[in-house]
Amino acid sequence: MSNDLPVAPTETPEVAALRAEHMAVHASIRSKTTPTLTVKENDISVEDADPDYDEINAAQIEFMKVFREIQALLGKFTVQCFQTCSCAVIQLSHSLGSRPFEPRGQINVRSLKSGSVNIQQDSSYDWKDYKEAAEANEFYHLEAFVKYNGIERTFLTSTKACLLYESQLADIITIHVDLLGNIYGVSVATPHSQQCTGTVLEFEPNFNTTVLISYMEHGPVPDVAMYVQKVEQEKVAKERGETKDNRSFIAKYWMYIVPLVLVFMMSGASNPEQPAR
Amino acid sequence: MKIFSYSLCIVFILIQTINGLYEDQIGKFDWRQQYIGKVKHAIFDSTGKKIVVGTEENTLALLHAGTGKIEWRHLLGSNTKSKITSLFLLSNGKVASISNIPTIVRVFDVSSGILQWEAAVAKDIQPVLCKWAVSKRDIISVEINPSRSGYDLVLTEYSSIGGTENVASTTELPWFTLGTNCQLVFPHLVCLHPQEDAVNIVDVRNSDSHQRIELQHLGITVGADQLVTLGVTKNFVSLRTTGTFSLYKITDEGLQRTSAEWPSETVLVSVPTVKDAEAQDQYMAALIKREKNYAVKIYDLEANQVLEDVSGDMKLPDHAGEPDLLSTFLMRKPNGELSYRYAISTTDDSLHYGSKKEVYWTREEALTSIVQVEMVDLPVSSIEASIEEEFGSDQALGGILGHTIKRLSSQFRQLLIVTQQLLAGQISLVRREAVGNNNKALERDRFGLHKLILILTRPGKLFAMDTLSGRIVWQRLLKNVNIDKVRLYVQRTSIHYPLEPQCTILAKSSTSNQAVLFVFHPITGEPAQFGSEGYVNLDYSVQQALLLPQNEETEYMKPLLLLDESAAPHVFPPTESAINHVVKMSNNLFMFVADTKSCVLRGYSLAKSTADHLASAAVWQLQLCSSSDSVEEEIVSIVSRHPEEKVFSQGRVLADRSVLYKYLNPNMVVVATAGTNHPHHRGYLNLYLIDVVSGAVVFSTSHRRVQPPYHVVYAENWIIYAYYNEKYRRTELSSLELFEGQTQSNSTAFSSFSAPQPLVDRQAYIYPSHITAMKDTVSEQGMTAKHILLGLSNGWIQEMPRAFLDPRRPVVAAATPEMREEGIMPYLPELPIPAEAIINYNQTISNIKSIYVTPSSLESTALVFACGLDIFFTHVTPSRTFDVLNDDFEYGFIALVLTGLTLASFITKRLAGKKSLRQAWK
Repeated sequence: MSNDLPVAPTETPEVAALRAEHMAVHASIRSKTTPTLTVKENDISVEDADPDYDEINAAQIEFMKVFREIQALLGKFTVQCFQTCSCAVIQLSHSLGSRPFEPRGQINVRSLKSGSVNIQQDSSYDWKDYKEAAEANEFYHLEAFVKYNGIERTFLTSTKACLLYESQLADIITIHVDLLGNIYGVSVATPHSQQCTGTVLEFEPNFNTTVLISYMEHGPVPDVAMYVQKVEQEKVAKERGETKDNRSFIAKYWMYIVPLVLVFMMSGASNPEQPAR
Repeated sequence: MKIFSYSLCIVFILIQTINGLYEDQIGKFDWRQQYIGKVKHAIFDSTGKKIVVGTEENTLALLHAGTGKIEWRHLLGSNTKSKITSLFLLSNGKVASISNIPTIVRVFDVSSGILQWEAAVAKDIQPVLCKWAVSKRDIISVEINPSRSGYDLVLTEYSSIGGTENVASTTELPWFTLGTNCQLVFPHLVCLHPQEDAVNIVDVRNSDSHQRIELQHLGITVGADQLVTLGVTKNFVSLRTTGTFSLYKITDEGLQRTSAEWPSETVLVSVPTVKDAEAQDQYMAALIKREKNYAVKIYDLEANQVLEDVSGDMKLPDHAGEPDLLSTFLMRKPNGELSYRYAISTTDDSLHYGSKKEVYWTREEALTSIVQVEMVDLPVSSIEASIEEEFGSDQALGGILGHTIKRLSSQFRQLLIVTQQLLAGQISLVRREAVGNNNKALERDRFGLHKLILILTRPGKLFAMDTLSGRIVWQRLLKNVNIDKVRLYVQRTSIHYPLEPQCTILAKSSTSNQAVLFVFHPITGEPAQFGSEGYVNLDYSVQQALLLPQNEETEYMKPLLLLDESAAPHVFPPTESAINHVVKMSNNLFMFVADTKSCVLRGYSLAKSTADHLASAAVWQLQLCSSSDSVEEEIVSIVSRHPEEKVFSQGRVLADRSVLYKYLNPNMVVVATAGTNHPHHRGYLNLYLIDVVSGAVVFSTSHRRVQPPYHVVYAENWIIYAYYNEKYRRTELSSLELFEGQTQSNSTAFSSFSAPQPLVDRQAYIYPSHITAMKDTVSEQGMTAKHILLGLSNGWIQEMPRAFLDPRRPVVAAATPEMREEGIMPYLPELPIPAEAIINYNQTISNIKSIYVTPSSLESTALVFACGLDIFFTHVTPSRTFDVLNDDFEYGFIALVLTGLTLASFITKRLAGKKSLRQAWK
């Protein structure tokens, strides 16, 4: 099912937002369909229900169709978060080089599943500080203190100060979430086209932050059903005896044409001498 | 028709890429050695010509006493927890082995090794204690089970002929407490609790026969904090305190002390097997530790004296450990003299067999528990060395004269070497000799196929093996090191002549938590000039180590960067040039540590380092596992790319002539965590691709309802991993491949801090067998196709082309010309196991644990070393031997044809000349 998801090679904020929305709908569909399963089979709970259940698959394919249509029509599609307790608070503190950590702000994740976040922050450092750190090729460290579901975890992430400086404090903070809803990492990066060149005009030291939530994907599953279907289709086509041969004329009959041409050429090669005699 | 064409297509690919072995190639470049594991039980048969052994690897085997060869061998189940607990020789030429978890009694015929019968003992409750013995007709089990009022003793008898079970009686044991050590000397059970100072004896057939004997009555005085240990040897029990050792015979009246004097240095005792039945139990053999060697003493228990003329000294090799098992055999020579044979198992897992005179043979069973393998290049031959000396030395003996003298002397030396070798018969004038030649000198050959395999084993023993023959060149037992975690690093190879090669072993000290390095010369095994005899004691404990690239400045020595527990970096060897080298590259130096239990991964940068003070600073931290109470999760494997792997092509050319660029992140590692979701006991596997420089998670995926074993292979831009699918009860292989896309973000240098996000292709396949080991093949330049080597539970090693596991195999589309051009097959969910892909043909390797691959100097050929209970070495050529002539190449024929053609051209030229002359005269 993960194969159906749009995989974005380079995520722009728009794509990410769209994707996050999509994931939310997708999650809600799952939580909707699975309780019906639990009635049938007691030992499958909501959490353990396998992703490759036919019912879910069918429902999902249906849903994907509808979803794509709506997406195409409206362009944007806002969904409410169904899950109540998937919120998290991330406190950020940062430091340039080996300076002590200073508070930078806070990210409130209203729902990990829908990906709706807001961020309050201010840069405690001056433009000059960034410039100095960039020139000294130092690191920009970001420490994230995460609180969710009563669990507290501290993550650390860094990038080159010069990259941050030259992107004029445009950074991307990614929150990594696994399938059990755990936050296992927070990482900071700059848009990847950045290079350290050293020529930047003075700018206001305000962060222009994009927060992304990266979800773990379901692993691939051997696609036996599709293969069997394909084999059966071919069988049916063969029985009907109308496997359309849409090859070109030459591709079809080359084995007859080539000898003919050869024979002609051979005879043609011996002919010119005759009139001379 | 389509299916037929698919299968034809696949068969075609198979024929192209997998080359089976011809019959005459068997044993030409492969060899196998069979082992049994560390010997736990050894019994001589009544003739003394055979030894029945039971081992830690749950193997029962019969060894020929004269040669040490395996006559037969049985692996008793593949459960790793299962162990042979007891081994008995029955009177009718049968051997009984008892394994635990699950308890199974098996009886084999000794001479043929045929299983006579087996009985699985199903248990409702796990007994506190379970002891086995044999009587004349029966195999007897004594169990102590907890009951309502205390502990019960249950006696069960199995008929040794058919295995019919007969539960005899249940007896209450009011005096029994937990922690009591009991030994069964049928029909008596002798028990000793470590805190008590009395021995309890009970006749298991008669519940009223309980006796309690104070240790004082046995002639043992126990001081405070002194422990008495109870041992058993056939019909005798022994009591050992720190200063004394005494042996008792058990009678219905109690313990009767044997009056022979046993020195306190007695290490082991054994009741020798004797040929004639009357002399059974008359003698006793003891192994006594002397200052440097050991003495074997034979006691005559009836005459109560040491047979001094029979007893003798024993000298074990230097690289053997302490003896921990003794089995002896006494025989009467034709002239009436007694003489003994012994089989001794030592703590280095080797088994020694010998007599009073010498050790006849030794089996190195440490090779069944291999921790790490490195294949190192051999030094250049003496002729090449003299050439190297001539051109490599920087001596300023300039001028024409100086050079001439140099050249002449070097050529004279080469001539000398050649004549020496001719005299010694080392150069055979007939080429194409068999590869398995034993007495070849340890010199590098032209194609780098002759190497030395350095093997580090779990008991701390180090072996060097010749790749041509499997001969052990040297061996060494590491001393005073804790062998839980040992790593071997090759710091300098033999390529940099005249600099000596050097290897280092990193281990923990046995006495403290601090690290110890052992530095040695890999070819000779001699300790290097470091510390005391090669051992360097470090005053910190190491949590991570990394080999850094070498250069001319460090004298081609790869510095070993060690990160101690406070994350301070250290360099070994601590020379100025090595430290300068580290400081120079410190801006780009990153290290990471992972805690497998808490799943915390932390990355460090060494950018702050100066020549006076190496420093590190944490740059990232992740915590992968779930911390919920209902979930148990830990890191099962961390895989990085082969450090010397070269990627030949930056991308894949598609059918439309555009290029799909590979995502080749050199800093990426694959971290796999596995856990169980407790309410339903369902396993799951999470896979994370982590950039260990920036700490960014490149990709992550999860599989639900899967079980171990998990195997991960990571090379170039693809990852293949195997797991067992619990839901469908089958092994599955999943394949991931990472691409940057149609454009390459930065073609000259890769920076983890501005890395692009890759596209991930994925696909899963069903594998119809059970995988126990997995590895990819490596070639020197990376041009040769990659194959995956899969070690299977049935002892096969399959060579699977990577193309079979390509995630781009299309599921729906039929084979189109574009796909055919790219070499992509249509998707088939199940992978094949063709017989010609089994690289070890009929040489089954039992219990394959791991496979190691090293490239040779030939681009086409890789060297494969597989180990488990057996060890196997072979060559693989994933893209066939495109760079060497075949073995059966007809040199004579081609020479004949060439000379024939040359001659014919000369003759025809002459004839033509004559003819044209004749024509001209006409």
